[in-house]
Amino acid sequence: MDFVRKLKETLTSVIPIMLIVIVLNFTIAPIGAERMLRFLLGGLLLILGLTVFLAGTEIGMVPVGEKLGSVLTHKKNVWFMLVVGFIIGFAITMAEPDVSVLAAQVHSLNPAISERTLILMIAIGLGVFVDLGLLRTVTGVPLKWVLIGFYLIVFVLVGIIGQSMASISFDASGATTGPLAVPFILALGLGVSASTKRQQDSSFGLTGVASIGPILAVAFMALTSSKSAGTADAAVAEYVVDSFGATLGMTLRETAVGFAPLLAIIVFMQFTMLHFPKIKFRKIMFGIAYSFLGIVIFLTGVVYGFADVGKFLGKTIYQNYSPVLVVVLSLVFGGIVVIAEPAVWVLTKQVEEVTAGRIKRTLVMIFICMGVSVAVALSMVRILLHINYLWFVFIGVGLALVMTLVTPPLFTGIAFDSGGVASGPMSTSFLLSFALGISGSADMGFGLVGLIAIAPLIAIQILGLIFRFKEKKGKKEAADAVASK
Amino acid sequence: MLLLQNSLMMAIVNEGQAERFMSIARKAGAGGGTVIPARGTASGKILNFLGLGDKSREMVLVVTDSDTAGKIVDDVRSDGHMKGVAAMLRSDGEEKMASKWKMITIIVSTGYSDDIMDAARKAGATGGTVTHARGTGTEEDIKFMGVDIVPEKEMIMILCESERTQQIMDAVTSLKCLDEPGIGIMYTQDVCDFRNLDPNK
Repeated sequence: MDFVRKLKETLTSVIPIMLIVIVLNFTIAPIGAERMLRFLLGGLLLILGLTVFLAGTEIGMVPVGEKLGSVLTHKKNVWFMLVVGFIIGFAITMAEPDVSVLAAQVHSLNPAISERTLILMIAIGLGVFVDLGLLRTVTGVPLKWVLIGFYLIVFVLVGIIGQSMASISFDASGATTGPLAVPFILALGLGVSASTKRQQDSSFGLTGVASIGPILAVAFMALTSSKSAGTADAAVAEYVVDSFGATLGMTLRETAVGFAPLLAIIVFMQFTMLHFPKIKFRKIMFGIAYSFLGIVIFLTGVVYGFADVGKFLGKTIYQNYSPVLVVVLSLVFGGIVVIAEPAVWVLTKQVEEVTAGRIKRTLVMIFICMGVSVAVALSMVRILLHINYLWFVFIGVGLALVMTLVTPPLFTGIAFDSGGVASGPMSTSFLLSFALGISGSADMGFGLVGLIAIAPLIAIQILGLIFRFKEKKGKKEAADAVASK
Repeated sequence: MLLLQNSLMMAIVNEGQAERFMSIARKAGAGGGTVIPARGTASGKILNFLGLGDKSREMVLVVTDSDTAGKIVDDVRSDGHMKGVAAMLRSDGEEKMASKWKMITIIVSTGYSDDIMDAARKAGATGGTVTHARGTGTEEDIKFMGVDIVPEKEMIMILCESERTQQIMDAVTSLKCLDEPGIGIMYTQDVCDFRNLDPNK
């Protein structure tokens, strides 16, 4: 049984962040005994929750997604594939609690946009782009052209709507794909590509294409509705310190609401198209139950113990020490917090499986960490110096797009998938709270999640270039060896 | 292409141990090996019921002669770090004698391995190893939007005592979910030697 092994792995992913907070507590930013107690309990819940979630995802969500992908292609009916793909994308967005929070933020920034319409638009956006992603995976159109094409449209739109709406539209793509939905979409892409002979190169990228949908949806809404000046309501992004029971109840309710439609769809599909045999289906149901349980435990730990500490640290350090220290700490936080993101573990595991161990999971993780580390540090620089968000988008995504031209396609896929994956509950709670503690207003905190999502696009593609360079060198050496004989 | 008149050694070890296994094997005289990610299913009843019985494993295939194979297993055992088993599959030309062990291999469409293992266990199998594979199909090419569609398969390998072989195979073939034509194939191979890599077992 792998449970003990998994527990060890997740332990190593949560311990670093806990150590740093403890060190800070005894040196420059005492967080107080009560907060510390909650933080330690939160850390325990994180480790436990992550372990249970990962064990469950492997035997539940992943096999379902893969099988569905295989069924969609084997039916050989484009319309069938598009309808099912759209429904899935639409349903998981409508139910995602983070999307409603985001819609409320947008509404407060621009009252002309109604929350309900926005949620609907984001859901349609994701549904359409899941379809586009599926079509791309089946036909094998190079991912780079799809990405370059749609991101150019994104560039034009965000250039028009201005930085505050632009940052929200990028945050939207991070918010739509929750930790339960991401593994499912990832596996769906794997299933479709496994049914075609191309295999590796098209295995990844579905999540990356899908996450363009919400960006375009928000940008489009901002563009078509009349502009009005409003300020973002800080309250929506803040975590109110609650009792443990209340926190657990809240995460349980929110997760259940987000999860119900997906579960309903899975059960419906089992009897109409998936037809898993008896024992397998029982195993899958257990797996899905574990994922659900795991994510509830995880989120409770994050909200109860981590969010508040993040904000407190941000505020204390910003008020008492030099901004340089803030940026250095962000560099450290960014790198180690992202290791504890549930979806990062799922993605890196799948990378290792698809490449049969050629690309090691730790290597991918290290590069995601480095990317996010730089992104969080840059976000703090942006908050401190009030730099326009659009610069980061244009330069960051622009660079990532140029890189797609030379990066091996497999890595382009992994990179753009990592984007949606890296911006999970840890960044939206701990890191966002840290940023809010520094900026003091939610307005500047916007865009942090979006930047975290942009960072891996570049970092993983750098890894891809290194691989390409190494393999070329290896081939050349082998050729030289043959020639010298 | 290298042609070897040897037999095939198949070792199943814990995830991440294949490299160590191969470095020991190379020192013992093996030329090289092939590593395949796999999933082990040997666990207790309760864990299996709860769906938690799986273990990530690695399958190592080494083509070598039987003397070297014996040395590899001895060296690995004295290394003491490895958890797993190794089996030598009989090759062509070797003299036939009744072997104590057999390997049953089942290749089916993806998704059926859990039900197959469940049936096999009830018929006396202690565990099995599952890897992913892809069928080439005998039917004409199936195309979808101009792209070839291939069937995904699971390959299940069960090592068992010879006298249990028939029982296990019967249990698997009587599974209702395998009634569809063309869902998979099953065959057995003689195993001339079977050893545990863990020195304590």
